[in-house]
Amino acid sequence: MQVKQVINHRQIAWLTSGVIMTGAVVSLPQQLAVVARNDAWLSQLLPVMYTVLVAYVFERLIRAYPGKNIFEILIETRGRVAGSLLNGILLLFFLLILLRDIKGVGHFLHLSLLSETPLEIILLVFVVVLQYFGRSSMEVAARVNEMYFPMFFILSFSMYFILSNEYDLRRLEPIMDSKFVALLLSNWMSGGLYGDIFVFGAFLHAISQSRLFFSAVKHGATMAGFGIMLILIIQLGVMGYLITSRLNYPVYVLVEQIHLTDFLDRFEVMLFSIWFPAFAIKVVITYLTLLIGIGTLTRREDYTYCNGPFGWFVLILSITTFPHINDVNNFIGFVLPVLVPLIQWPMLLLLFLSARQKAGKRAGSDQGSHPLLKKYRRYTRLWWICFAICTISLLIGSFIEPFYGGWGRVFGAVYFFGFLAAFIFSYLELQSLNHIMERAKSIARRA
Amino acid sequence: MNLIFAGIFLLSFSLMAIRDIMLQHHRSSKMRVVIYLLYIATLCLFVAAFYQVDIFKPFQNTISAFESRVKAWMMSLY
Repeated sequence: MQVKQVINHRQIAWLTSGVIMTGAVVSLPQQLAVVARNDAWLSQLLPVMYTVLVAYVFERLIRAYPGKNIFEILIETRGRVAGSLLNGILLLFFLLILLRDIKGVGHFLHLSLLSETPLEIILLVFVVVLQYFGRSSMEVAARVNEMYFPMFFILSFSMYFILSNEYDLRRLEPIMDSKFVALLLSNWMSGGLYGDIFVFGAFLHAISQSRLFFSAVKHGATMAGFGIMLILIIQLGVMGYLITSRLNYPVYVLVEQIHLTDFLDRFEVMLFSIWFPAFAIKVVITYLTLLIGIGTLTRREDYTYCNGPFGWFVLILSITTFPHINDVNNFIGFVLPVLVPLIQWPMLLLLFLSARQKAGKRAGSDQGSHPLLKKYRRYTRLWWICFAICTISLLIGSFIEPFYGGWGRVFGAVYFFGFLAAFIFSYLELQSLNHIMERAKSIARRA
Repeated sequence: MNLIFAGIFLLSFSLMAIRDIMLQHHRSSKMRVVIYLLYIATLCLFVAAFYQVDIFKPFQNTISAFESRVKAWMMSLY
């Protein structure tokens, strides 16, 4: 039997952001700098939209199939055989994500911080951590994430100020000079890592309020998009696209550039000790997803039973796959962006049609003229307007820039502040929706 | 493969396998099959990794070829 788990809106938002951001900041900048050069920071728009689309489909599923996760829904809607086959494909995809993360972090720690420690030992320790969390539930991971993710996010922001002495805005110029195709490709490449959001499908049974889930994932995705964009801006402003595109871990070298007096010479160790737990939680979530998937395939049996053997299986598999760091990077840059549309898009369509058939149209809780509802509607609309502004500025900027160079800077600034505004509005939307839910609950209690 | 790792792994692996065999009557038959399959697959992969038999080489070559193709396609676009 699946363990009853409940997570709140803030935990969902921060988990979403953590799942996307912690992996992307280490592995993505190099690939993006190769494709979009100094415009790599404009690569987060379409992936965020895609995440919102996934959240929308999941919201419909929560409404149509309450208390069920994606694996159970697939079996219920497609039958035992076809459902199991689709679940198998989904599990294989999650296993690839898990191996990518485990081997990626193994290579990263081995090459940067623990060069004397054998890679196998690093992987063993990491998998033991996974097995430890595998005995618990999503709730525990969400709580640990609440401790580390805010610190990680604030530190990512503060890097701009810490590195201000090394920063030169001219390294970002000419802004929007890349061809439109390059911008499109960089967005598509980032989409591969944003596909990790599908792991939330395994926890749909833990969500009680579907609309809150949608707003939380939207906020989390916007937060992650803005955070990655900011790190890319810092990265390109400090090192330029040429160096960024030639380093395996450009963010590590970037963090090494921090020199806060002689006493804090190894500031990167402090930063990575905050990044690592946040990243570990992302891997724990993927691991739990796989355990839940196996549990569902064995007919709702407690997933912790296979935690031990599955952990060892993952450990040995991670040792034998992705032998070089370039394999991990190329997988992220060139295989995942193909796998995500191939696996996730048809599945999303199938799930959406099933949810639509079962529950009909989306029930509207946003009807009415209560001030809180008005506020919620206003923030939702503003979020969409901000994203429309970002899209338009990207489109016009990339077409105008070759003829009028200065306009690239203007549209780049519009894009940046549009994204920042979207991030703020998504937060306000989530807060106002939470207030509505709280009010509705208190009214129901009184009645 | 690192011998210290191999030692720690085999010890923990066998202890957990013994525990699962002892507790097998608590699991359903389907879960038992999954657990034993995982143990067998792990052991096979471990032996292959220990003797450096690259069983995933053809698969990795296919993936690498695919990566190169996607890369070339992307670069050809601009």
